[in-house]
Amino acid sequence: MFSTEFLEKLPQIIQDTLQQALQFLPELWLVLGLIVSLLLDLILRKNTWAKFGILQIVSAIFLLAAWQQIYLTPAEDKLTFIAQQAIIATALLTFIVLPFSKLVKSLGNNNFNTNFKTEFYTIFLALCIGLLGLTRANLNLLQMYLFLEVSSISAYILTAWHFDKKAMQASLKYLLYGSVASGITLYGMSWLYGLTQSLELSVIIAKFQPLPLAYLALSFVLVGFLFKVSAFPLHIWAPDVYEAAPSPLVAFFSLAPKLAALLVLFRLGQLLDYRIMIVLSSISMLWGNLSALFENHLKRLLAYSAIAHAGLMLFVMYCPKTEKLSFAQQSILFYWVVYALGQIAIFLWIELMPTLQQKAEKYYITSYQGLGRTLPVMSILALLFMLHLTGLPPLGMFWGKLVVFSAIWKAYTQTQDIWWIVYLLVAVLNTAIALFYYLKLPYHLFFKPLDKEDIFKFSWLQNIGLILLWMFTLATFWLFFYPEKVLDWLS
Amino acid sequence: MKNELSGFGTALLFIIAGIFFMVVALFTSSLLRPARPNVEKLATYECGEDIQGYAWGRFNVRFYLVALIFILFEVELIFLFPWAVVFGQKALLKASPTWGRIALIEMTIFTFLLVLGLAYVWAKGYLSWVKPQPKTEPFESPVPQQLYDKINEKYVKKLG
Repeated sequence: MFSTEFLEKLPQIIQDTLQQALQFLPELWLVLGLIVSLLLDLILRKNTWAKFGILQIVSAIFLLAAWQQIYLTPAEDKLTFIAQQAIIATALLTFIVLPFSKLVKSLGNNNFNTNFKTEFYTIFLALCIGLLGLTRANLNLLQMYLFLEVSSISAYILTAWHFDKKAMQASLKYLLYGSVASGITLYGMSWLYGLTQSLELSVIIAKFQPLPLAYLALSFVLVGFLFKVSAFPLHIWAPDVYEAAPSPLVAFFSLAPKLAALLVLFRLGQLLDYRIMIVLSSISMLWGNLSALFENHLKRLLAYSAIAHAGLMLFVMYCPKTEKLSFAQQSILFYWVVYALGQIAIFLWIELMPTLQQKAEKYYITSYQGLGRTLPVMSILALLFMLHLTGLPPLGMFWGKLVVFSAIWKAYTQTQDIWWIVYLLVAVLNTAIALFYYLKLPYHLFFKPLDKEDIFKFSWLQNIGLILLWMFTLATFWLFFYPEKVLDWLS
Repeated sequence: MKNELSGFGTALLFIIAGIFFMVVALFTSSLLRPARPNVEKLATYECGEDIQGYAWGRFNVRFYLVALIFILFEVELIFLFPWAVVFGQKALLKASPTWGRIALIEMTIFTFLLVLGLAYVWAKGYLSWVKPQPKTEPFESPVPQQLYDKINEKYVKKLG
């Protein structure tokens, strides 16, 4: 039944397969963590603070183990190496924010709707597995799709973690949009396979011929990843999901999946004309920023701003072929790091800040008005984070923007294409637009009259959160004064 | 080589043959059968029962849960048979000393993960079907109980 040739080669094949599996060791650590967290969840039956603490620490330990593994067996691709670390760091930061969030506030009471479900950690680790996998360079299409789906499905579930009507609705919308997008991606992948007779990404890139059909297939594949990045034309889900999902998770969603998908887009981007990237990126920025101008819900506003940021980060799809990391990629990675800091900080702020209205009106900007008088420290911090996200000195994002702009300018000097100038102008214009809506919150905090004089007392936990916020603030300042430290690390 | 069918060709042949047989069978039976429809005969068939409501009706979400778990284990079973047949061939086992062990370990991990899933569902109580507890409305009868008793007494006596 088997040829003798095949049987002779069998030990070698087994060896190769095992070798390939070992390459996924960081992911395997997380799989182990997932199993352990699920078992712990079953053994410790009652939802208490102790159980929450144990699961949090165990999951964090497995994340650290994966991080260690990334160091011990570094991926050949430098970009993968950096991105995987960044994703794990973001996950750990999310864990730090988690205890302050309103998610775990209801721990210990046995109401179905308000109880924090500790399966959270299992699903969160699954999400991390998917994202770590997506960053790898030598994937074949099936692996890529598998990792994409693992991360998406976990994200759909986590969106509903408040388990109220709004969360369910957002989760369902996310699921419907997401499954259509990933279906289209899979369809495109089947075409790519048909055109090149290979599932390996490297072979596909080498064999790719500029036919109209091939471009159509490629754009189908891009759909799923543009969806993850929430860039135009697949950004529609973002505001609803950001509004309903728990804040620490929103911070994670707006950072880690985007980084993973950007890496895939970067790898496929070399097949595309950069003008397509410029168009997509410009429209994303304009759409995000202009929508945010008219938005009054704080979390939705941040969602629109995230669309705009994602738009700028699409610049990574432009890649002149170089051996080392090109300046364009470095600039985007740096931008991502700086943005991540601001994003996590502002969502921690949202969780800590008391609001004037409850329930439906809670996160509207009007429910913060006048609080600058009773809570001056928190309000000044909000101002700083908002200025950071806009990109004004002396805060870190200033360099983030500047580095990306200079990378765009460099692209212009290399290609002498007028498109780059237009792109640069659009990007600068968008920074100016962003200033208006980012300052909406500080304006309401400081310049609007206070309706009712409530005295907000911070608990000890919230005070720890406040200290964390100060640390984030110091980090943003540090990034302004010593950006070269991060840039060195990235190169 | 050129005349050989590819996998897609075989599938296409199956589709064509399937359509052909269906059309022929329906056409011949429409020629032969008597056509005398009435309301009963034209009614939608639902396991011999009279139909109730629409197909779009809502039903309990737990059906999906049980169905999902069922499919999980069915797929596992379907997967286990070819695994045993294909991976257990003597030629393969002879060719490499580690083959059998690796195949066994892989399948053990796979089955363990599935069992873990079942344990999770079981321990969390998602398998136990909560029975509906009908609430009975408190009902105050305008007729006093003694009247009923009297009537009962009267007729029981008569019968007795």
